[in-house]
Amino acid sequence: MALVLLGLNHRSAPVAMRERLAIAPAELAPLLRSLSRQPGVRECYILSTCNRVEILACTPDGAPAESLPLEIFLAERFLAERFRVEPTELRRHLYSLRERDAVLHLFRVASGLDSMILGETQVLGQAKDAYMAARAAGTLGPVLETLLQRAFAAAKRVRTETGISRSTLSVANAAVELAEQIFGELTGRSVLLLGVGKMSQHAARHLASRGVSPVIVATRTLGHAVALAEKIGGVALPFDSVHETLAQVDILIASTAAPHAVIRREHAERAIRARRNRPLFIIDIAVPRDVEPEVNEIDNVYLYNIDDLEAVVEANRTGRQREARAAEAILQKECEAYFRRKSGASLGQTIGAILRRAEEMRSAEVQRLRRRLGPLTPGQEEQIEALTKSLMNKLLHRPIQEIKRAAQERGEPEAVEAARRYFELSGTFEPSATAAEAEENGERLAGTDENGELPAPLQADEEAERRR
Amino acid sequence: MPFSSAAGTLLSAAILLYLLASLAPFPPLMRRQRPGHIVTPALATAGLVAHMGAIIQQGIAIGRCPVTNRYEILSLLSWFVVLLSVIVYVRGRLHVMSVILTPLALVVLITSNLLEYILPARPLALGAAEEGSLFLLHVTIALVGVAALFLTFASSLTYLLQDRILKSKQHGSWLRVLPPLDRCDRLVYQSLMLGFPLLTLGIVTGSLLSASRNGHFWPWRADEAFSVTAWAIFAVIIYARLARGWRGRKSAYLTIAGFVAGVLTMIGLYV
Repeated sequence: MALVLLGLNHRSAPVAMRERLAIAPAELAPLLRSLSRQPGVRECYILSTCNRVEILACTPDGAPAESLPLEIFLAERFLAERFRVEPTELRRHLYSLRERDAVLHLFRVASGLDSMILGETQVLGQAKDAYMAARAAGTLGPVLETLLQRAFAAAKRVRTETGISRSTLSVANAAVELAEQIFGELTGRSVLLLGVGKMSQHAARHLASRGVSPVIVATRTLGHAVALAEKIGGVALPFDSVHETLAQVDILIASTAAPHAVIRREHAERAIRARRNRPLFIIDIAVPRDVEPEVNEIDNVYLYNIDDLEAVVEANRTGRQREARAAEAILQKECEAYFRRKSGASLGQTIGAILRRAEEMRSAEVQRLRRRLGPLTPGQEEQIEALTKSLMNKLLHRPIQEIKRAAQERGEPEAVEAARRYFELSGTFEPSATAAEAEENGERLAGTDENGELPAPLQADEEAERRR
Repeated sequence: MPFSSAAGTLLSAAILLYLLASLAPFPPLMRRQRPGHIVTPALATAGLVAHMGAIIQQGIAIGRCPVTNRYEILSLLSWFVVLLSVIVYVRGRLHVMSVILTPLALVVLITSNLLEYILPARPLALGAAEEGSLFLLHVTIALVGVAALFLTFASSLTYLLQDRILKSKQHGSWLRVLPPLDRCDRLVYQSLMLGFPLLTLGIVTGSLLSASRNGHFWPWRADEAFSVTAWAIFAVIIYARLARGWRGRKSAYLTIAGFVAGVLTMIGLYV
């Protein structure tokens, strides 16, 4: 079994190439199914966004590692044929990763570390959609299912443990964040829009979504104000009364096309007196500026112009780059944990299978004996159960210890292979067994004591199984 | 040793816990991460329990309420300060207050401990009055009042920091560490409205006590002069705020001045 990741992104391919390979949501399912029918593909998943197209595939068990390049060529040919791209041209833009590199890349993509906007979270949603699509198309198996879940968990960890997605990179959001830094809860705070630019509308909508109300709109022509107020659910105001209204609102967003300052120092001073020094947050995104810069010198007035907001965004951007390093470290660890668990899983699964097989034999034999002996007292039943169980556990204890030791000493694939041979386990594991379950099997076995007695939980399970 | 041995052990534990609480935010800040919110308040709470144990032990050892000398009084003060910071954390998740107040309380606790060794031992001249309930009332009221003013100081400080960050537009990781400006402002006001009346009552009961002890209502010692200065400054701040809506940067500076006068009162206890 091998993991292969093949794809192109905004760094490896120009937009002209990316748009030729873009896959519409409706085409995704047939494409996934046809890919999963290709020789050498057991499970597959495709992520297609405007910035990337990536195929993640897992080859069947026992396929020798040497066949992988072939497999990559196949995928290349598959893509090239599908999208009618010259294979050599396509190859120049494709990257192909295997095993650890593939897993790490998948984790980085899901966490937004591979995105054009570092740390953006949209890609996580897209990856989850792609996962759902692959699942619906039936092209996911236990390997990719587990891997993708791990990728989403890793992305979540990155988001909560680093500040990479915490700070905003949009000017409108930066304004909202600043407002929250001044007022705390924004519910019930009011905002005055002076003039209507696209950006101020955007900011007003963000503020309104945080509970800011009322939204008051004032423009030179009242008609415009009324129209916009209706559009964003606010109140229109004649432009002349702006200076009086300033005393009543908490936030002012100015974006008029006026050639000179509309709000001068004396206006702001008067307003701040009238509002008994409650803080006033002024966002001036007009160029030329609508608010005299000296206004920022007044106590309790916080004036931010477009450059200031851009600077906040820039500071956030460098902050994200710093956080990205912490995120990379987390992903490295997650990647290692994935492989550790994966190998642990198949060992655990093998041991689980051995135990299950032994238990099946034991209970079948007990049933046969019971039929022969006829009715027994509960005490006798108990003794038979106890005897057979202890016999089974004692017999299995040593070999299982040996398997685990072999796995540690000679590598796990070899140990698993030998164990399967000795215990005549057929080649298939139960595909539904998750890594966690399998790990639990391993754990349980580690918990058997010197007499090979199994700890209580397993016995309880066996009990339940027998009743079934 | 100003404390009995059992009390001394508990007190050392409390000092250690306060110290850990004070240092807890630094390692994450060094790594440019946000400090975990719960760590400082949790360690401070553990310190509070040990500290209270020490105070009770001491009370048992000397056989009376342990607020009879400067050292014990300051120890109780630092206990109230930490308690208040934990209450603020529980009520509003404002861990910044415990980050500022725990080290302050620690400084009070340790310096009073040190001074006890450096300065010649001079127990307060205990008359019948100090044993009485009026004295206990006076001490408790005054200490809770002063602890509230510690909170006023801490929130004024965060207010000024936040104001400076917002005005100067120097945004970085600091932006989200401090509470919103309005929140700091409200906390300044609330703690002032708790501390000021208690300070007033403390001064009144103190002068009654003085009258019953030596016949003067107002002996004009250094500590009394400073406590009246602090009282006057806070009175002006509250009046200006209520009547004129005076708040913000200048108000915060004046609040800090009032607090400094309050600290000088405490130092006056030793002069």
